[in-house]
Amino acid sequence: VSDRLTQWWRYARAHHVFGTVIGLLVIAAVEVAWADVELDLPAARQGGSISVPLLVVIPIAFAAVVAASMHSHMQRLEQTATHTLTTMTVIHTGSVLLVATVLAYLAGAVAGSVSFGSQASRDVLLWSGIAFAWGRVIGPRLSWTALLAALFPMTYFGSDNLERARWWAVPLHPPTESQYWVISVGVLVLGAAIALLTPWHLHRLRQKALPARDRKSRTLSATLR
Amino acid sequence: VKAFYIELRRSPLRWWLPAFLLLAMLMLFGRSTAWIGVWPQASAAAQLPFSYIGPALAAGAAWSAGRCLRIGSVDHLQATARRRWQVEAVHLAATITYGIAVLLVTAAVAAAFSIPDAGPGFLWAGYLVLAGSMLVTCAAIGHLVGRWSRPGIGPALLTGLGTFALFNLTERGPFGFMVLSGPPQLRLSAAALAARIALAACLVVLAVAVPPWRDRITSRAPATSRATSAIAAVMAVIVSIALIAAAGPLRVPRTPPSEPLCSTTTPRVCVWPENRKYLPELAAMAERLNQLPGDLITVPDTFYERGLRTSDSQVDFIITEGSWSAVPSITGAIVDATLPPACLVTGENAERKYQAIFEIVEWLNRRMYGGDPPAGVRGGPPGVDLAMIREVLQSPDADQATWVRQRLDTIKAVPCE
Repeated sequence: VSDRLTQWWRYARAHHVFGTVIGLLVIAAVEVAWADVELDLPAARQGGSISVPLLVVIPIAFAAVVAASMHSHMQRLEQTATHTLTTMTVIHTGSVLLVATVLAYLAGAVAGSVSFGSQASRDVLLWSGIAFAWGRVIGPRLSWTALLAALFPMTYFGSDNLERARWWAVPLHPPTESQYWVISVGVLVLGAAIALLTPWHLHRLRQKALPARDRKSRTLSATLR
Repeated sequence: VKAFYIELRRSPLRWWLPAFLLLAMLMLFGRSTAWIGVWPQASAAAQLPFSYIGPALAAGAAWSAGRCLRIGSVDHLQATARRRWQVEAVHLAATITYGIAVLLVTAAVAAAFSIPDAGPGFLWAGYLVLAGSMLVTCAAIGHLVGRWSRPGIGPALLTGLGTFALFNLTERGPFGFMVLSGPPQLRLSAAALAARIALAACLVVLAVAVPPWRDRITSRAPATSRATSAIAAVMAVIVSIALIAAAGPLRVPRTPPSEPLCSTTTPRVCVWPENRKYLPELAAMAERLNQLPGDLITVPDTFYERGLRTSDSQVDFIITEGSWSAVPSITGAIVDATLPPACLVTGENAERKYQAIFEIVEWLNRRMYGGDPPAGVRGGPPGVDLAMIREVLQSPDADQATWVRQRLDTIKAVPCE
């Protein structure tokens, strides 16, 4: 058992465990203190501006920390690791996401109401999905850039002339409407799938896509070589 | 200078530059384009994208400033022949250059689109300086936090989201750095602008000259002088924040021109010279007012845009987006002149009276505008059947006069309490 623990401890240390925990706690504190502060932003609609609470912005910070926790001090070494590591990554990132979601919920509930909390936790799921996917492309350390960039279309184009939020501007919708939960979870699942797509998976997929004859000849030539 | 070019080429912001430019263009043309042809509005529109770009620049600066610790090239920095502040100054200058480049392009586009419609004049420098001081402030905060903290995503997130929240608060109060529009009635206060420039300058000095307390890249300066410079810089920032608070609101009313720009029509319409592009449409509306049944409706002989008269009258119209935005207040002035002074009415009487008033208002709005309001404007006064108003507008003038007379009679029949 102690071997397993040591293994986990090593893994967590390489994956910025202290920074992650402190970051999540700080963000939760900010949410408790200022979740209902209104921001006045320019928007592409009649009247030219939109007012959004800080609550809409805070889950971005949570998701950025969650996605960044996939980064490791030993990125290069981990590239050569076996399936065990993938399992650990899933468990670790999943728990960080769970902690972030729960923290977002609790902080929102303390700051305002239960609906505040569930809105924040739904948005953590959504943004994490986006951050996971983008992190697969650019590296987990820079996954926050997509979130910061997504803030612009969401607030600027996110609502129409009658002040109704557009369907894709999920964080602007109240948490009571279930279809936005479905979208958020869908994005999360998709993002996580993209993030977990290792080079091996890609290779296997490519092999499957090739016609059988090609595959055979290729394995043959590989053997000969 | 060579180092500056290297910094420019190496800055991570070079990847962000196209995104910034795209964002600026989306913000110029994605919203209402009523700013085109009105110099102060165009200047404010060119400044507005920086409420997003500024925070992004802060995040980029923080990311960029943490590079040595992140990559682990501290030794290189220690071995440089230059002083530390020179290295940092060049680094920050490159970051700021990217922001200024976006500002210049945005301003140039705004100017190019405005020149054909706008009269004499040019972009108001004040709004551009405001945007400049905003982005320098953001970049300096980002650089400072990036330098002072441990490398990671923390500084970039903190400064990006932090400045975004800070500079876009609804209660902007005395600390506002952004304006949503630039009506000609207002100008930027010189004192407020100077205080913001001072804050930006102090933050730049702080970001460049003051090394972190526990600097892993050893500074050559002795500890006492480091402490002195740090305290001095922090004091300067505090003083300039106090100055911003003392300088008062960001914008102050402008003194109206001695000769406002007026139409040659009767009734006359007078606007601020900057709003000259609206004058032909407003004059056409004034012409249409002459066709109203004169015995029923009293039309004032001059309509002023708000702020032109020193005795600021609430019936003077304002233009926010397109000439339709002036219509309700012009109608208001006509209704004020036509109806007996308002008095207290309650209950069913009030309902009847206001229904009649609202119907006349909506009829006047559309009659004056010469048709339906522009797309995007929906609804009307409460309880008014818009289909019925449209029908009335299509009937002959004599029928319309009868319709108006009925409503006026209803209004006059309601006694005051």
